[in-house]
Amino acid sequence: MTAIIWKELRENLKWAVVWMLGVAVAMGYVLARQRQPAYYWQGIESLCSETFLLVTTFGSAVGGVLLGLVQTVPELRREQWAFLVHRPISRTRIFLAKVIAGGGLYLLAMGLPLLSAALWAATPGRLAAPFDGRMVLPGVADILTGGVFYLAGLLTGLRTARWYGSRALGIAAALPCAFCTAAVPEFWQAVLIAAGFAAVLGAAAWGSFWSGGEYRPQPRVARVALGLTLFGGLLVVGLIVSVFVAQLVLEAPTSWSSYAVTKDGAFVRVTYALGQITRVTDLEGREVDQYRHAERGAYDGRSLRWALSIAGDWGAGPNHYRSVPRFYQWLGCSEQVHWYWVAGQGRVLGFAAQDRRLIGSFGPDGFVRAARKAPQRFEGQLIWPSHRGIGWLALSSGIWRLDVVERRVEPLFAPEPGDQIRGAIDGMEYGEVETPVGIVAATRERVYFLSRDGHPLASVPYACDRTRYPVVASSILEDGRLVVWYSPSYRIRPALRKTMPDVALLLAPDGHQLQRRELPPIAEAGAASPWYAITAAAAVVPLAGAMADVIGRLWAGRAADPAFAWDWSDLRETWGLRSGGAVVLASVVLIISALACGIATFALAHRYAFARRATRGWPIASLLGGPAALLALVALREWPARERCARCGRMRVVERELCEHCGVPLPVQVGDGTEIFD
Amino acid sequence: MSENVIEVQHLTRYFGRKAAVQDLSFVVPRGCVFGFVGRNGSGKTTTIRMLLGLLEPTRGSATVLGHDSRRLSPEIRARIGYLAEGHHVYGWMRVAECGWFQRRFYSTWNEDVFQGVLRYFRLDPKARVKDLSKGERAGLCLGLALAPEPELLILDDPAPGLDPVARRALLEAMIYVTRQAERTIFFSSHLLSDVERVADRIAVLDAGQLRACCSLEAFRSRVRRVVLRFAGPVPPLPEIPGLLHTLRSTGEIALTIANYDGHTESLLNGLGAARVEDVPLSVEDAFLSYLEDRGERSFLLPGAGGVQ
Repeated sequence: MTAIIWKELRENLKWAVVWMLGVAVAMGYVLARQRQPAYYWQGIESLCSETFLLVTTFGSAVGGVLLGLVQTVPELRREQWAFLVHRPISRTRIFLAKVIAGGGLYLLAMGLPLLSAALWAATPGRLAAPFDGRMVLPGVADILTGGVFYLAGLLTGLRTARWYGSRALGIAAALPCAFCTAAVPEFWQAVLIAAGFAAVLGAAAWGSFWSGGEYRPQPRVARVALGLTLFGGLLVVGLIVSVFVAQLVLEAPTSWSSYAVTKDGAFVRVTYALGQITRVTDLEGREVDQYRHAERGAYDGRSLRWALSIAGDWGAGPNHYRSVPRFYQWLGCSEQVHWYWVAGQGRVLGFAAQDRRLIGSFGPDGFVRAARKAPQRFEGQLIWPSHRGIGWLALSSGIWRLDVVERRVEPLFAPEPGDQIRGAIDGMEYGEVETPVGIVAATRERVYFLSRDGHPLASVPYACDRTRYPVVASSILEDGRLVVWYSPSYRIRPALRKTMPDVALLLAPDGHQLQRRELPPIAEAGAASPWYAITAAAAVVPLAGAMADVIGRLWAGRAADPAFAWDWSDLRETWGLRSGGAVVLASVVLIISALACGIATFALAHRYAFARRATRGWPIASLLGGPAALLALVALREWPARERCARCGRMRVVERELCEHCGVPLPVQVGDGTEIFD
Repeated sequence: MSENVIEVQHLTRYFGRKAAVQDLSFVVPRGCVFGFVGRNGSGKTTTIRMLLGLLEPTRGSATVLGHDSRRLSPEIRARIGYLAEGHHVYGWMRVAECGWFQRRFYSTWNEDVFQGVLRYFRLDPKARVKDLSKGERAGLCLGLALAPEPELLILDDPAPGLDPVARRALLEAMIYVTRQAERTIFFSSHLLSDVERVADRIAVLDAGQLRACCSLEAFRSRVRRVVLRFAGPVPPLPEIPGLLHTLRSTGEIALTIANYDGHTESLLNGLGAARVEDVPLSVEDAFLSYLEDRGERSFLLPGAGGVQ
């Protein structure tokens, strides 16, 4: 085994080194340029920024596939496979040796650059940002995912199938692994997902190596793994194709609507098309005269005020193992100092942009320079994402004024004991209109309008059920009147949510309620999907997938507030259909497609004389898996030739010793008299 | 210990709808040099790959050293030497590294044999494999296959593309192997002179089907060519069992016949030939008759009397 490991290392080291250099250069370029990525809260590029993770994600996936291919394809092409496997060692051990060597090379190509980048970033004076060792984990997760792609590359190289056919389906089957590991909130979940995918793709690759790329001789576990792989790959390809076709066929909504309030305090509905306001109507649907013939400039912030979101449905924000805010949030840059809220320390840290070193940190007791004893911790969590800028700090426990130039910190506002801030917004966000309101803050119990020095100008109790109406926004009119908007949770089941109105309160500048309006829910814009699109989509969706979707939703919502629990009446919205007829059409097509696939598979099983278990199992799999399962079967098996039975005259498969119809063995071949045998 | 090293029963392999090997049944006795002869594409390599468990038979079975070819254990593989067609070894390795690599797998590795073959083929241990000539590469592969001192040596078309000296060297090395007791060689080839020189037994494969499997002597004696000379035109031929070829010319016809016996003789006598001559046939000619397309050929154009 060690000899094969040595041989694989010698043979492929050059490719691993080339890839390692490429990845290292890309990582170095991303980190060294010290630029700000697309999302402002990330500060400068780090091990968790989108650009860096783009390098690790694509570098791992593409590198893994390429390494898997170079370890197999040249050997098969040059007939060296026979030389490799004909030796006194089991094929499983040869395969293991290949994977050990390939895994080592892959780790060299991806792990070494990541480790170097981590060491570089952890060294003070390299990045003008805080460093947390856990920031390496997203890269590690990507490398683990790349290991799955490596196995997919091995499988692709080993399978005897057409390159333009099913050969590369293993790579397609690995794609969901990349998506899932990037989507789950915790690193350990990503590890489990990668391990699951690796087990399936590894078993499939092992089976293909063991059998020389053929399906029939493989051990059962490998055949099941290969079947799952091809099925998954076909689903992914089907999804990509359907999204692409949908882009071509379906019309995207061209207009949408939202509510606003006029400078007179009237609630109106504003319709937009291509980013421009096209229509303003009152709540009864009549066009408002004031805006009927108005120029586009008449719709400025003085004339119409929209609801600016204070607190939403997003909970603690992007607290995800790949997201920067789990570790820190960039507050801004002032006088060549980057300021960060560091959640783990409960402090605001400043890093000099020039020498990229920590200059000091803010706590509730003030600013302390680096190398001295750190200040105390702020209580509570930073409110995300309402906080923008470095003039103040909105935490769940209170709001603080932060003067980074004078290095001073002072409390602005604290909620009542037992209450907690859910969101806050800077009065400056109301644009060109000067308002006396400095900050609008929503707590669990009230909504506060505060002056710039934190003095409460007005406050109103939360006017709706907090669970069902967690989304709160505000507007400030030119004359000082205030509006508080409440919207239902996005997690409320679709059929109920589309009946729930928004609630708007018009308040006097002192908080006295002037008006309360229920604003009817706005129906979705856009044309309904055409019947052929519904038919095509339903025909390719696996019956098991649709069933699992419905059962999963019913199960997930079984213990929740009924408003959040999924119900059959939500099926239409869940499947993105506009009418009951569309639901019936989709359901009928789904069932017909499943039955057709099951019947077609049953016919194939009989035609090619499958074993008894396969004759029962495959039609059931096709019934549940739909066209993807049927195509997986077609791609999976070697379809034997058929010849006419000399006795019963029916077509029989050539791979059976006895005719599957009459049980008679093949006739002995009659010679022509030229045969010479002892 | 079984008398036969290889036993093949109705071995069949399809690639898609095409039968590459069909209903092959034969045995290879222990200690013999078995020549597996056939034209290109006749199914020799496919058969060998099935014998080594590299390819799954569509139907039928084979045992090698008493074990099912589909499940050869590492211990059994250690007793089988294999020289693949084209002599594919790793081009980036040096000759000595090839030996080191192979030696790691075989407890029976005989370094003297390996070094002896290297010396015989004048191979530099430091040379890269990709820089070797075809003959040198064949020698290296033979050394790699012989050094473990296998009980059964399977050679898949070992000599094509080699110059006469290299071919001679290869054959001599094969003869060296058979000096050892109980050694068996199974080799495929379409170079009939090589087969004739070393084989005890032969099997002839034609379009995936076995046409002959016998000792070389039996093959030589059972394929005969006779020339029948007539005073007038050649009469129409009756159905002659075992007829491989006919070659007509003016007043005479040459027949190549397999399994020539008394019945064949009486059929030929019934044609009324003025003279019947037995033409001596070399093994190579006999092979060629066997492997060529069947049927009648003529040097006469229809309606013409002269020789074309």
